[in-house]
Amino acid sequence: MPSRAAPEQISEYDVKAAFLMNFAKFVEWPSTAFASSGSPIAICILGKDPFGRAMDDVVEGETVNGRKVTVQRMTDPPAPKTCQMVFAAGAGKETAKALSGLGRGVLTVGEGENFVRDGGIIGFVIENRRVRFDINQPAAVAAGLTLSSKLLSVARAVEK
Amino acid sequence: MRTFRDIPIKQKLVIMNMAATTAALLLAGLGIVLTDSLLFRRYLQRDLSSLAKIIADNSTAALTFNDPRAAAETLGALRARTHVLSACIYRPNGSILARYAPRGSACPAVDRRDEIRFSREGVVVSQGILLTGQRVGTLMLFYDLGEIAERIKLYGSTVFGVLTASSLLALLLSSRLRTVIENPISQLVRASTLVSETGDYGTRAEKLSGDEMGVLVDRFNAMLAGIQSRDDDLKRERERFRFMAESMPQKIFTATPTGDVDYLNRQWVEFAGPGLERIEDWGWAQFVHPEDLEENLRLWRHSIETGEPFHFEHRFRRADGKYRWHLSRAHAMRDAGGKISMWIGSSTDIHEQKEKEEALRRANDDLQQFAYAASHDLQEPIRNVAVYSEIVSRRYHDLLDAEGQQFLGFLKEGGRRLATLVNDLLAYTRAGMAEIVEAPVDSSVVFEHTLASLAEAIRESQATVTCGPLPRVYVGEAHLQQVFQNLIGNALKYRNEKAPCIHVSAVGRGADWCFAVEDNGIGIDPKYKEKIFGVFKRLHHDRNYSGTGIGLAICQRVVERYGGRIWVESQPAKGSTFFFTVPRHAQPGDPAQVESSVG
Repeated sequence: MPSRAAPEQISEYDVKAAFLMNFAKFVEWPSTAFASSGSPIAICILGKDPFGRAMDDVVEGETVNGRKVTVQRMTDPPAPKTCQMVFAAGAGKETAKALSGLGRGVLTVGEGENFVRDGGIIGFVIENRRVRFDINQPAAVAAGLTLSSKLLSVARAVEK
Repeated sequence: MRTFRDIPIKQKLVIMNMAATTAALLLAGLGIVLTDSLLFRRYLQRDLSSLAKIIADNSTAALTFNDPRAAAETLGALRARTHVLSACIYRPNGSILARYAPRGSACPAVDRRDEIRFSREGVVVSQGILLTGQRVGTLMLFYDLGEIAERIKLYGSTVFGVLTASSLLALLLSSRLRTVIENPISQLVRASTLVSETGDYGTRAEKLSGDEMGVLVDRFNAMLAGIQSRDDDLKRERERFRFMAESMPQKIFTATPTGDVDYLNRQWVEFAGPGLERIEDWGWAQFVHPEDLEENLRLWRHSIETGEPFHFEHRFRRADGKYRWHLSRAHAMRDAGGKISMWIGSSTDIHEQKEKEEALRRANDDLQQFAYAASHDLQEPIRNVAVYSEIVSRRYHDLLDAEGQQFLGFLKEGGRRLATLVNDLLAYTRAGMAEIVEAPVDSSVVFEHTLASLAEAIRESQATVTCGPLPRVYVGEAHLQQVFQNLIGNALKYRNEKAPCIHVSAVGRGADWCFAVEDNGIGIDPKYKEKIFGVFKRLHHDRNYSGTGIGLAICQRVVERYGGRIWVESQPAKGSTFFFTVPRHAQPGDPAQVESSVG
């Protein structure tokens, strides 16, 4: 449909970048998740970076609850209190397992239907060529995160 | 159709009650509806504003994660609000994320300002959708105002229902309450109707309340009592009059201002016998003697027209058919404004009196005729006595001795005196015969004639006789001269040592001329003032004052014949003034009198 054409032309990772930014707005972190009260919300891209400049453009100038939003890229799992959100591209079982070991205060986002089943908190899925996501609510609770009900309401599926 | 003014009071009261109730309720209803629609707008504004905010807030995730289904679900919550025509969530770029339109209404155009806009079609709410202070979209809500109309309709039907119910209640109540007003009025109406129909002022209206109606009833009753007592007074007064009229020996009648006889007392019934009713109105005319009727009617009509008292002697036919003389008088009774309210009159039987008068008059006439005839017939033998005693005295003077001559002298003197006496008697009887004077007589001319005939006596006594301006009078010339001659003659005769001074004058006094003959003679003792006018009354029997004693009697007879009177005012030794009056105008003749006197 012509009216829907415009958003479709945007690439998948542009959407995912925007989603990652928006997740920050619907998730409440415990204060223990941050190094200090002035620490930013760090979105860490673990391993391969599929966004290019898109992620940096999305977070540019954004603040959530008084915290700046930053993007970090890393190849190894981060140290505690350095990343509040970790995204790992690809849908490997290992990746999920690796991320679940990061402990409390970190929102883990992966790709594929199995990501949440394997202990990840939010997993991107493609449905009808649209980017959507599943949520593992017990994992989020275990990580000490509070997910907004609004976020839950737009998820494709929520594990309980 | 009857106007409001003419319908009965009870209906008026009901109508007034209903009108007042309806007006009050309509006003109250209008006030409630107006206030409510104002309050409801405000409420709606707040309500829609918070509704929009909730929807907006719930749509943030759907917007940010581009989820039309979730957005539609959020909007679906508006199903409960039946007046929502449409609700649309716009993305920041102006495209529609989700749309809720249960009746297929279009989405209102996106508006960047947050506002609530009332229009004829409905209320348009535009609400920005914010996420962490950033505008992520816009919610447009279109709400129809049917709810306001519905509420007005609801209120309207409520007011109508209350109105109907309260009207019915008012109708019920007022039909109960109106008796409070209506009953006293009905009482008054009933009482006044009863009074005007029966004329019974003893009727009273019942007082049912202590308010103005009660006062009205009291006043009305007091008024009736006043009328009743006046009515009683009037009845008593009327009975008193009846009693008085019935107990009078006279015949009493009353008549209306137009002359219709409306009351006759018992004496009439006794006199005229049955059939009295024919006397009422103008029926009495047939009881009047035909000879008197014309004059009677003329005088009665004259009185009715002018209001002057009625006075007439006439004959009424008694039940036995005999006529009897009556003196009838009637006077007009006038009200405070001077208008004649009735006539009241009496008729007195004067039949016996009238007959006596008539007999007396006839006797008097006979006597007068006798006196006239006698004196007339005596003149001839007396003249013979005088003539032949003169002849004897002249021719046989020498044959008689002194004694014979003296006797002859007595004879002559006696004859002369007898002649004078008879002449005076004749004059006196003539004085009783009034002449019908057609034209007025100049009394100054009569005065001159009198002086001429008295010239000898005036010269002899060296008297001065003068007169002032004298009028023209309706008195026979001979009669007037008789009066002048006797009065002036007396003044010359009864003089003292001084030369007599006599003055005649006349002044108008009312309907009369009043003449005065003034002298400076011996005067008259007041105790004889009346006596001197009698026949043969002489105060002086000595020879100084010769006379027959008839002069003043003649004067009186003449003056009274013309309807005047004569009297004297005097101071002994200073002089006397004789006054007499005669009418200024011609008197209607008395044919009967003239006839009988001449015959």
